[in-house]
Amino acid sequence: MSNKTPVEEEITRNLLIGNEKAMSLIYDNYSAALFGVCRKMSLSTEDAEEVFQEVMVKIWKSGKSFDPKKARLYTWMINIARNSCIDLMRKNNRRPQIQDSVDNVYTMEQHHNTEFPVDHIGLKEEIAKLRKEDRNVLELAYFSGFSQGEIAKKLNLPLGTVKTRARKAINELKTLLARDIGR
Amino acid sequence: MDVKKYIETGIIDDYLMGFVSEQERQEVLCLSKIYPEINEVLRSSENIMSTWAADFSEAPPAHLRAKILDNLPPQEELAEQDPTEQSEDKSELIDFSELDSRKEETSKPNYWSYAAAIAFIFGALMVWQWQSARSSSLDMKGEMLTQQEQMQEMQENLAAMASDKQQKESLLAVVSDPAVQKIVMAPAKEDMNATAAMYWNKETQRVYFHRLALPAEPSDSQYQLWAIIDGKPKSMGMVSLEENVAWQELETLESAQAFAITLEPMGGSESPTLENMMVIGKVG
Repeated sequence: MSNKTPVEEEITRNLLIGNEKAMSLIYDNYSAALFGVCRKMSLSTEDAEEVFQEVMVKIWKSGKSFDPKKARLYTWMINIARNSCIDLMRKNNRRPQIQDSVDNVYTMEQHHNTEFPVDHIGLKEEIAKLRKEDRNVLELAYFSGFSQGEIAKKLNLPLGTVKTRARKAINELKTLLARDIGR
Repeated sequence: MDVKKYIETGIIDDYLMGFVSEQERQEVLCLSKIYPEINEVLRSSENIMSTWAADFSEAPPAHLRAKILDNLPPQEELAEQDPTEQSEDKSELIDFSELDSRKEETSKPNYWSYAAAIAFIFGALMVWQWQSARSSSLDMKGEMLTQQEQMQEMQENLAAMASDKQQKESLLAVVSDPAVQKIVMAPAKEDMNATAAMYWNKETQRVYFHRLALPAEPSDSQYQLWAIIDGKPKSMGMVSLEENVAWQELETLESAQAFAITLEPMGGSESPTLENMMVIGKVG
């Protein structure tokens, strides 16, 4: 993957040789992003904290099998976080509440106090450009694991509209974020 | 298969959002292993989504830092298994053209070696007969008996070789038909040592399977052959458990984009168990 930051390279190097330094670097650079996913996907603060700790241990345990040629470190870690949260949801048979995403967008700055390796200057503004309705559907699908049918039912929308909105949001994200990711 | 068209259907985004059926989910996973273009789109979309996820960043409570970092499990307990789907993707597409030419080089001397072996046996037989004719006639009777036995044994060997040769010749006729395409199936995981091949005559639609080097099956399992047709797996039957059967003619096939082999319970499964995929090969 392109656009690897020096810190990502340093983490990968340490992770592959099993040096614990990798984990403190991950914590200092990515804990907010990973914990944010856990918060977004878990019902309670306790659940989020529990699953976040689990995610960090999983990253450490499976670190040696991480292949930088096949995935970006950051995306790989976010996937671990998402999968762990989905597992927890299935185990507890719980789903997060549907919440208004706008709150999150505007509170981001206050939480986002660690240095994030991807250039995210203006990310907040870019994401705010997405239509709230489209973004809502995407959040429900990506973070809560709701099926297309469940989202349609919850938002009282036709099935096709759910897919159209989610796809629209993804396509806009692709256009907006392409330069951050440096494809 | 039209990869571009497949990508344009938007199924990869649907997959990331979880808007797909189990069958479609497997399809995306399977096709991303076969087609690098699909894999690239999948990875790129995943990167977009994870970047977006950063928008919800929230610092964890301060006390967790020490709690996590001071309690990491010791290294010897490290599991090699990866908890994301990404890392399951261990397949690497191989250069089929290179493999093909390499295979052809080795298959020709192999064929000629049978002719050489037959010539050698005839030669040995003649030398042996010449020597025995020169030997004294005192124990002629006993010697003749032994000779007869040995000759019979040689004749049996020759017959076996001839039948093997005939089988190879008819196979040679099959595989050398210009309408036949050879599809080499390479290991689905990096650390695996397995290869097999399909020979497919698109005119007659006949398909032949060649078990080149598949590890011996565990006693309760059997290899199952699959054709991937427009992203959907279709069973092509089971790989024979008989020791001497390296070649099998399968049911005819009209179209397919790839072939794969999975290890399944005895008698096979309705749909392939992806984590037990042994080899996979794209139809060029």
